[in-house]
Amino acid sequence: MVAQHSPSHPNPNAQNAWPVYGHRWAVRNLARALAAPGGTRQAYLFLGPRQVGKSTLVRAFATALFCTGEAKPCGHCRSCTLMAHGSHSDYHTVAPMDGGDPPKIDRITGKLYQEQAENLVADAWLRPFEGAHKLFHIQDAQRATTDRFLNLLLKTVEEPPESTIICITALDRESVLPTIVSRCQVFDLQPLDHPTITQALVEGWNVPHEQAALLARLSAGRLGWAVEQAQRPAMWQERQTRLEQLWALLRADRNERLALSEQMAGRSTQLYAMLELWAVWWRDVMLVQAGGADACCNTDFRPELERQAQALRPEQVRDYIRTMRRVEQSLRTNVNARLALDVMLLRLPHLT
Amino acid sequence: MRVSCLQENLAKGLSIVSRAVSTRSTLPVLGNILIEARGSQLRLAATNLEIGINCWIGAKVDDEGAITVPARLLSDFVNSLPPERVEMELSTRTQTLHLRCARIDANLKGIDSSDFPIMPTISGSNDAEDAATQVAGTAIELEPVGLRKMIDQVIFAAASDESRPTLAGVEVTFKDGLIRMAATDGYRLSVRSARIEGATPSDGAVIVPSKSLGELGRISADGDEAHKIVALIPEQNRNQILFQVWGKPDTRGGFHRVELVSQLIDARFPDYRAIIPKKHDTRTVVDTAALLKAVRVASLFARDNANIVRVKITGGNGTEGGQVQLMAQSAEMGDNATEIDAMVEGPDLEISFNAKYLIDVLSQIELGQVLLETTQANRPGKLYPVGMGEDEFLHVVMPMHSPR
Repeated sequence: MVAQHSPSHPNPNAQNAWPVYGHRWAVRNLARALAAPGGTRQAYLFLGPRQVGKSTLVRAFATALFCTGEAKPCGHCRSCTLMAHGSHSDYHTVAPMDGGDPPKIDRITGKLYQEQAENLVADAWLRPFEGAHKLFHIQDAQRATTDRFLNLLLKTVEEPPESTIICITALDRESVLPTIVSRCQVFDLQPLDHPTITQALVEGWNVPHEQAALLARLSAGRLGWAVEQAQRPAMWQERQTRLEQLWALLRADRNERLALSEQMAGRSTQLYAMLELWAVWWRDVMLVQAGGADACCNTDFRPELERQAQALRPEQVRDYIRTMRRVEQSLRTNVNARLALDVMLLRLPHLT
Repeated sequence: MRVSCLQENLAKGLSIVSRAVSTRSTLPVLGNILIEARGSQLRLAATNLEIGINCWIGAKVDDEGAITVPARLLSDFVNSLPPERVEMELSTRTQTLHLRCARIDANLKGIDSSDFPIMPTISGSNDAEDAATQVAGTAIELEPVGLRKMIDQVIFAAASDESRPTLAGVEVTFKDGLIRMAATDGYRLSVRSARIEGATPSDGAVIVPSKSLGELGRISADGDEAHKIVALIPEQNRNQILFQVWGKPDTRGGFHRVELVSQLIDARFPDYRAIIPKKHDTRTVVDTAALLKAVRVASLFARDNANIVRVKITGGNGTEGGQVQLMAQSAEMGDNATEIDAMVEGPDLEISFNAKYLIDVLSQIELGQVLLETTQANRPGKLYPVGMGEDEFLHVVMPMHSPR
């Protein structure tokens, strides 16, 4: 699901050699900690929205930590090459797994299992394999569905062996046990601004400028999302189809709406993508109504935005955004998807 | 790479290194076995980042090279081949290994060998090209049979659950020309020492995962008993301990040598000397085999009762010798008592132990008689074979609360 920001791309930030776009203060802070002897902490917690660049930052930190070259990360030494291939033996990822056999990584709906924590605790006490450090990266700590996963880690996170560093990534502070948060240095990563993302897409992934600018607006500051979309040519067509579907639904009767609900209820991944797209669309409609059309994301569909902004009352749009948010929350907490979607689609405003 | 070797040798080598293949790692390359052809040997290697095993087998190398291929598939495939020559050829462009044996052909898709973790090797293998991975340090030579015995007598006492990583390891100490292994899980302690002949390293201690030592014991059983096992702790960044086992390459299904690399546990081992009882009140000498048999019988009845075996020690009265009575009972199933002769010095005592712990230690004692030293029913008991001395082999086991 999550695009990897390939570290092989040229230096994005003039200030440092880390293969990370944006998040300058975090990079500066971590680089300084690496430069000072004994400057690193035993545990870090990286918070921020999905695909904002948390894991990329952890990988870059690990690369710099393991690097044996002069300017860290040098990008040429064995450690750097292995990190770029994703096969460094001292870099351990613990990611949510689906319940299948063999289990596969599933960062959206998977779980962090107790067994994974137990393995981590045992592995943490082994000396590093190749270098002087080893780093454990716990991804999506919010997917630890019971407290047991994190509770098992408490002691190790507080006092791992000197050679071990633990990095945890999660959506927000509330989704991680407070006892874990207090044991970590916390980096609250913020969404990137449009120019940074545009520049990153143009320089790093050769996206045409105009397309990059639009993606930057749509991405809500998440470079990972923008990169993923840019690498999927079908994305533009999908987006247009989904938006047109929404516009058609505004004019559709109950039966047609319920038919879509039935169709979407089983496909959770697509569903969340659709909800996200809709939310941005309604936000844009609201912005146009409030006279802030310049801040819109869907700039390529400006005429349709204006048409809907005129036809609907601001309260209608605001209420519907609230409904959508409530429905999304319900969906994530295991409510019957079909019923939740029925509500969401029936409450959609009507256009004549 | 173009190389050929005998199916039996390849199958043996694969079965040895497969034990170190990772089953839970997120690194795909760790699910693979490294195959490297160089000189006149084929090196097979696998690691799960805790244990790494290198195995060299005899081969005819036409073209040197290396590749990693999926472990399960390769082992299962090689095991199903007839005992003939296996020819292997690597296509570097596609990273595919072609195998041919008799009239069976296979292509295995691999991962570049440079992605495989670098494992250190012990110098002295007369292979100049290995120099890059060879590490310096004092090599200690150990008798295979003695070492295996030593491992067996210690590792069973290590903790088996990994929630206490330190206790899942064995402390290996080098001091005053002695090697000492100690393991404890908090309920029992096993310590075994032996003299090192030849070069001795500087004093120091490391913690080795008990699994690694178990693996070493298993590998050395296939090795050449006449050839000493070499152990080495690298001088620089002491992350690992290396063991080298020489094999019998001329027999069918034999190997040249195996090197086991074990990561060390990065922690302090608890100071176990404090729990070894300094004095004793009652000394009991019994026949090892008779005691083991009696405990085994008692354990049948103790199964439902937390494995509690009551040991009743009664002293003699001059003309008659003393006795040890072993009792176990289950509220629902019944009870049992076995009496065996013993030489008892000191006051009578009734003390309870976990039957499993007694069986574990007694089955590792080869000498005919065993000595049990006790003080009170709630103090640990000390056990060692008669004729070995407690500085050689010593076992401490915590008592259990007797049911009232």
